[in-house]
Amino acid sequence: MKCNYNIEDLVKLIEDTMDEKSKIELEHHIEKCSKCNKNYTALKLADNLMQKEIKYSKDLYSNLIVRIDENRYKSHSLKYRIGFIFYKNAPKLKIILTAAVIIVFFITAKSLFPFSKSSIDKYNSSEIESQNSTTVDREEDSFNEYDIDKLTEEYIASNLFPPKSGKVFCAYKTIKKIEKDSLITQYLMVLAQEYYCTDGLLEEGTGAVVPVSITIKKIDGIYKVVDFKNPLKYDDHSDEQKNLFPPDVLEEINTGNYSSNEVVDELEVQTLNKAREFYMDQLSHSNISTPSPTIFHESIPLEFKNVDVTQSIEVIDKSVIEKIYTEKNIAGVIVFIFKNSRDDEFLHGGIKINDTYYDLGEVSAIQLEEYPNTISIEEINYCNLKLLRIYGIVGGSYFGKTSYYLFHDGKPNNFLTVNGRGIERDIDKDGKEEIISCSGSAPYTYLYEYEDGYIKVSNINLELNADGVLFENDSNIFTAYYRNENEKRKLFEYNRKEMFLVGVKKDLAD
Amino acid sequence: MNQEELLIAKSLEGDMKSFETLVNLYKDKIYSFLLKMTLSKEDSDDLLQETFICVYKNLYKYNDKWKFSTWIYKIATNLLKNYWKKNKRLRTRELSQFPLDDLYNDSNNPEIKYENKENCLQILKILNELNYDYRIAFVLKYVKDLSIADIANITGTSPENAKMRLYRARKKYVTSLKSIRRS
Repeated sequence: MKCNYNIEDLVKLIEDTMDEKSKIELEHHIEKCSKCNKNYTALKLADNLMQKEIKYSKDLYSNLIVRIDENRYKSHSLKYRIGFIFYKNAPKLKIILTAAVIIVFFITAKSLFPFSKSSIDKYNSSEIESQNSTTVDREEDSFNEYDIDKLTEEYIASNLFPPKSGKVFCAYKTIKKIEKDSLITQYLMVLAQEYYCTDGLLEEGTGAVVPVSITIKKIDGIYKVVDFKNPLKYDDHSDEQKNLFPPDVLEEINTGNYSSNEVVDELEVQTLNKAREFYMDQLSHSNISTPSPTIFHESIPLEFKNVDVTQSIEVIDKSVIEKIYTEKNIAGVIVFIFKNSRDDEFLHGGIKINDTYYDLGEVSAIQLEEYPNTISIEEINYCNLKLLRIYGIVGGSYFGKTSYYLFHDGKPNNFLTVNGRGIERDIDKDGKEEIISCSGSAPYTYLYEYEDGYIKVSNINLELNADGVLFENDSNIFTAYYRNENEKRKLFEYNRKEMFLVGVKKDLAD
Repeated sequence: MNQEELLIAKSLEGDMKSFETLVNLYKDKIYSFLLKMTLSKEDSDDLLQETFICVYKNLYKYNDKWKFSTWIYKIATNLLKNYWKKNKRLRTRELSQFPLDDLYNDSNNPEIKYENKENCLQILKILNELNYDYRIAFVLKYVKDLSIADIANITGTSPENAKMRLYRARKKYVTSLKSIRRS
């Protein structure tokens, strides 16, 4: 069944702002059309629930009175009365002041900048010309898709609605395209979003999702927009607005397929990326890595499991130490890398505390004995704990391993061992560092949180259902790779046990 | 001079009884608004107090060119915005903090009661997922006596934009509700 009604029509019915004839028609239609019926029920439900006022049961005034100065207006009566009169007349004062400033400006500007009339005229006319005709030069006879897309996008972005203080970016989905002789008419579902950049942060301004129609003509190899129908210029769902589109396009629009959450999200990502590119120089780096999660709505809660670190550290006899390669004094304790006479495959880490030798286990492949620089021994602060961290390469293809040890009661204890180079960083700014490990050529990423004395781990590949996850060290972004989704990459930001989708990249070449 | 203007004038003369009446006139309205925005009883409680403290301190700045209700909602919205920025990471809430029972129609029929509660939860779940701009447009729309122009004024945007946000919010709401029900 053909259905020309949309959500706003149903809202009008609920709010009783429809004329009697249309109301009866729509009521009749709802009985037959299951889509409208469902939408109507959903809206009616929200209407009933959202209108409810919830009573505040506590005594608010008694709580307030202890926090405010009761005598504020009594004792300073005159001061506030003058203030009251001032603020009441503020709008009038504003106009007077603005007028005064303009007059002063003109008087001073005339004497300071003696422009000749012709030079000003020349400047104005060239500016107006460039504003009015957005054209693209092209010699070929056939339509050039790239130029048409570029012109369409630029034209819509600058003509859909005026930006407040930023710049409008747009992305669209094509509903229908008609090419006839030298004319090309496109019916598009456009998402236009204003972005501005303040203090290095990208902020969202006005936004709209609207169907538009744009007709481009090719005259002497030059593309020119000859017609643009913008529904924002009319009242919502007025007859004029409905007449902007031919019936088949209107039908497509009303299916809602072109303004579904998925499409809007996809277009939002595109506009956001355009805005990021545009404001690249002004954006602080931290913002690029932490875009507002409000823009996307997808968040994935992560599952964490306790890590089993019961393996104890062995005390060894000095005679087992065949050769010592590196030695480092960490907080009064001697940490060293040695060849254990019982192991021909790996170099071991060792600690000497009060003439007692401890074997910390394998830390590097024995082949690297001539390259002690590949092993790093450091003391680090992690969640208010002082840990010893040893990193070394233990396998082929530079397969690394990071081991963390904690000193307790004068003895070393295994704290955590991760594959690859462990990164300790408070990426979600919750005051506690996380440890991120990333290894393998199809990267496998784990995230560790320290909580109530336990280390917990989340397998990020598994949680994001990805074929590979890479942690971008400089931007704190987790990039998830999917083999089967047209080579799509999704960008996530971690925050308190949740991953927030902050971007999507279509192909690996992006 | 209507009742509200009289109460404001008297409060500005130091009559606390008038201010108390003003508080009682608006507390439920503002509380409902804050609760639907934050979905947390505790945070709404704090914000409600802050709103009225701010109202009291700035009462002499109130200009009767605007409706008093618009002004008071604007103050609450400004505080809410700060709250939103500070709690960037806590925007989506555990719905367990929401006083559900206050919202849905209590009925003696357990079946209707259950259905009402389920419906209510579904709406809150969707609300929880709407971003700030959409959520505020959606919530304010259902506040009695606020026009689109008032909503635009409160949220600091143009009426066209407010209208567009509301349209998008409703659209998201309807699609989300449908997908919840399908699943």
